[in-house]
Amino acid sequence: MEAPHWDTGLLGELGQCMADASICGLGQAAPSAFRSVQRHFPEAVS
Amino acid sequence: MSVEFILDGKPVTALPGETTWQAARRLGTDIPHLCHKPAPGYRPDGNCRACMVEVKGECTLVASRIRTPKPGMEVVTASERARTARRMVIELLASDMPARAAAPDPQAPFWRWAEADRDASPGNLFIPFCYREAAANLLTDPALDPHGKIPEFKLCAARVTAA
Repeated sequence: MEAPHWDTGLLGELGQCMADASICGLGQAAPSAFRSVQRHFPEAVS
Repeated sequence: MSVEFILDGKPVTALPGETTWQAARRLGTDIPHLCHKPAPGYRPDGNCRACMVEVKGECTLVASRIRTPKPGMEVVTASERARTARRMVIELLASDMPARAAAPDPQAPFWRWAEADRDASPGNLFIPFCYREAAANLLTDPALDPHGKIPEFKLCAARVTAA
């Protein structure tokens, strides 16, 4: 996430996997931070 | 009591006490599993997340190793969503490990799942060749890239017979 350009494909898979496969809500919500940046501020990381 | 449920679109029956994973395995679908193996001390807890499958109507994936099927429950093991999650879980675990050759136990069952390619198309066979000592390299061409020392990708005809 410190990289100026994010690997959107890989982060997409990671975020989906964490939201889908985590045991509890903390893990399911953990990717929300970077997913919301990707959703609302894509120009900042691409 | 036996339970009728749907596995990858087909009606199937789980024997009394069987979990989704056990029924799938008995019927020929081998779902990855790490927290459990049939040996003392490997009770299935559903905490390795390697056995995730989709259940229609549930918002997250579920651990098939501990989920008991309910009548009519629709379970999907082969969807892109479930496959991606299982692959990613194994990849995340592997990212915390040394390479297989330097691992404390290079024969651990984990590597079977980390290196398995379950996406070979029908009629094709895939065996790992990424490590120099992999069977594919011992059986066929052992050539390595002179700079990266990476075994080459190779194709050949194969016949499978029962051992």
